[in-house]
Amino acid sequence: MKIDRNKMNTEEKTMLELHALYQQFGYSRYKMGRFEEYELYVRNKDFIPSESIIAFSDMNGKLMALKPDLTLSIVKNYRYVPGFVQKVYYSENIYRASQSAHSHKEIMQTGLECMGDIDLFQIFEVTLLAARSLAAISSDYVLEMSHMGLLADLLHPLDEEIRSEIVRCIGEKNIHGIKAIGHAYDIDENIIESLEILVSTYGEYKKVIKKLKDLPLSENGMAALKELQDVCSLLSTSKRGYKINVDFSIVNDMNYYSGFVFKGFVKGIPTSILSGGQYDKLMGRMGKEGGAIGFGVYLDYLDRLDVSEKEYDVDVVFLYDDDDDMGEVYRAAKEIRSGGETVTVEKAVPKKLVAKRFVRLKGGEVVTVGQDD
Amino acid sequence: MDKMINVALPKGRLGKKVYDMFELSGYECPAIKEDNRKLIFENEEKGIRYFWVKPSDVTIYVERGAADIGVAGKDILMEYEPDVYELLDMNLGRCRMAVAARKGYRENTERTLRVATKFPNITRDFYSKESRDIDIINLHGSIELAPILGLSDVIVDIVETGKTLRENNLEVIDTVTQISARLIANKASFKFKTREIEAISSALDAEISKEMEASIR
Repeated sequence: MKIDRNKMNTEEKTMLELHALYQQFGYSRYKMGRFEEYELYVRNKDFIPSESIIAFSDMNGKLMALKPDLTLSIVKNYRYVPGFVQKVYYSENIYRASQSAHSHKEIMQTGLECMGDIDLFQIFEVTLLAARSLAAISSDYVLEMSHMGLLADLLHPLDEEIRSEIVRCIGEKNIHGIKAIGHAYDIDENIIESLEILVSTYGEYKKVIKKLKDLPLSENGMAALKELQDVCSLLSTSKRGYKINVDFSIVNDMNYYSGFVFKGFVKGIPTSILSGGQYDKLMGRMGKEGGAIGFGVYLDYLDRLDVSEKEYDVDVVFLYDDDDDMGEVYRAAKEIRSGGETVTVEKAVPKKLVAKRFVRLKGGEVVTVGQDD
Repeated sequence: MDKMINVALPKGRLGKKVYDMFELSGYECPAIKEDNRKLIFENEEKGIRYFWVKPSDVTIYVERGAADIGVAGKDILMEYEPDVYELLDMNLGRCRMAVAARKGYRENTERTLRVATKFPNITRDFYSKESRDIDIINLHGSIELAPILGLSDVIVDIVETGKTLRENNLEVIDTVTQISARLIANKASFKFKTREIEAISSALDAEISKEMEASIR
């Protein structure tokens, strides 16, 4: 049977396209179960955005959880081989608490992870795949990039508690909040000024990087800026014209993320639908050698893009009664279906059902008995 | 129009002040001052559309993208922690979140402290920093009644002038945080309407600075 893509919704179409895209770049599918040992999430609590996890004890008394995250499970099973990278992609449901609805939600997530001796090329390729994933969803997208190395460099002299308060403000583009923290804790004015520049400079990468070169960065900070510049300029050489912005309000937990972080937006969806980054520190914390970078796409938001209301529930309603020959009804309906139309065979028109036309058999012929204007 | 900016304004006294600030900054919409029951007001020429919503709902409209930007009190932002940008301190509706109790109240640290409030998350946060065991009583109005009737030991609430507290024989015993109105923006809208939102934000910022200077003088 041929599958008509026009009959699929954006979520279904996107999933197929993303799988094909990741396969094209040599990623292999990594199929996982729904459950994971609860302890894994307790040990890496801050890595997961959801605080509430659905847990239960399995048959032998072990405390298990419905996965709130997939990266941790992939990293857990990863084995480092020097000089190589492992590339996997996944498409699974995850379970997270929705703050606004006070309930748990099942979310479809598709994404990929590249683990091992990653270098600039692998980082570039993953970023490129992130941009292409967004482009597969909508031509009106933005991929926003940031580098935690630069932020870590600027925040290095501060206490951990103050650092996390400031990181929160950076995520909110909250300059007045940063100033207030600076004032409250008597932080060096140069640091606050640099952070102000960091928060208020965003957009096209060349412009941003030029301005950020004036910041009082150490060697590490400069190296981070250089990495950001290299990846952006590699992406800009492509003819596809990727819509990439640099924006330092894209922040992730500094205990896990060390380098690149990114988030993707498409027009029509009020929140980011792609999120990822380089999580070398998580690898270290989980006792794994090598670095890693990856991202996830949240497909369940995509139904927001299918705004046009469905015109018809079905193309044709095929009516029959007890006097009709069942074999003939079946063959006639099959004939219409083979022409590409959808057909439901019914004795009477179901309530509230909207169809293009209504037909029935009359003297062996299919005749139209009603039509939607 | 595609690039129209949707603005969620908080209903009530603060909302009127907020709208005046938008008007002074060049984003007027005269229809809003007419006395009628319309819910949405727009000035197509300026590319702006306003609507009034319950103050605690502003963050919901903005976070879910029905409004591109909005104005909400810091109290609401702290309580609900929406995933939005906080672009400006509008310096309007200044007040503080405070702990209050009956006059002459002395805290008994030997037992759990009963706290009545409309802001359970802020309250929990505040007392967990002090490592104090508390029992939160979540009320939706007339918080001041709670300590008078013995429902709670203290309350955590917004204090503007302190008049209500005084008239009910209550007093502030601790400040939780300072509050004022903030300009917030939906994160995705900001990516696709950057220039428009930036223009509004900087026009407002200029107006706020002007007013602050005038008040100092």
